[in-house]
Amino acid sequence: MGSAPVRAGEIVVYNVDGRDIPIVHRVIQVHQDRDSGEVAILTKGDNNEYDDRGLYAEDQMWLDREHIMGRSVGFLPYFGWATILMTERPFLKFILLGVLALLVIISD
Amino acid sequence: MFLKWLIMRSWSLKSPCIEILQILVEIPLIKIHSSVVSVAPSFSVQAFRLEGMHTFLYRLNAVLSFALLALAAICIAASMTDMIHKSNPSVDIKVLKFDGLREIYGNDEARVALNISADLSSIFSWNTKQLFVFVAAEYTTPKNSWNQISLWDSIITAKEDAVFQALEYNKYAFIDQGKNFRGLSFNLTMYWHVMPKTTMMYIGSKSFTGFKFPDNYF
Repeated sequence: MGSAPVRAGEIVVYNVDGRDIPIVHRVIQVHQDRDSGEVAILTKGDNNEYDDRGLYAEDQMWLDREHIMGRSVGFLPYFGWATILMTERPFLKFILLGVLALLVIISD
Repeated sequence: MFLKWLIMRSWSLKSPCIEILQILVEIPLIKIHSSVVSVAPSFSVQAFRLEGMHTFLYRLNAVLSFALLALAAICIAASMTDMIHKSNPSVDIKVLKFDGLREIYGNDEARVALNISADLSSIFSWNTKQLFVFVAAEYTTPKNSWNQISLWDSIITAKEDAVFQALEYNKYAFIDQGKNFRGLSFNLTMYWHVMPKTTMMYIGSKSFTGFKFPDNYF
């Protein structure tokens, strides 16, 4: 995650209370309190017309630093396909486990 | 020995997908290690015990692991050439006028017309997929030591589109946390996030100071 402060333009992964899937969106507003040092963060998906307040919990207008689980630093092409394929086609998971079991049996 | 290791690893399976991928990557590395240890005087990973079909699997193992490592090394070396890329962007941001300054629901809101012109074509390299460009207003208030509000953004996917001029009102609401805008001075900074085709993203920016809100609501 890193201790560098969250700044506008960064892509962050955050969890909203009540939702189980984290959201990966860009920060468009940051307000850092002078006394407590806490930040209020507003995010928005690049292709969305409106900000993410519709996705936050009821009455929640801002995200806190605690909601942010990580930030995006780079891009690895096609890396996610292994996980996506195995989630969409569960039989691939069984094939993989079968191959692993085979390796166990024929190795010493 | 291998069976024991596999059972120990499977015991900690939380999310099957990711753990299975990790195990899959570790198997070739463990197999090479164990075969090196079992052949005492020889230091070569090619001194495997010859035992029927095992030879083929061990060799396939070694070849695939080496191929993976070599591929990763080449990818990293290729993406390093992007680090010496020099860029020379030119940016200019002006506030044409304030179209309104009012209080709404306890916070100040401003509406401002901007003249944003830039030539970001030198930032594009072979490894650039697109640029995410945005202009943010930055200012400090008595309550907040740092405020950053994105007013306008654009995604540039081609080098030809990187020379542009935008004469627009702020795309996103320019609302403060509080009522501090009147008479406040602020910066306008253009940031460009370079999204690569592979590996690390990086950020550049150019800041313009000396902008000031009107003194009264209107």
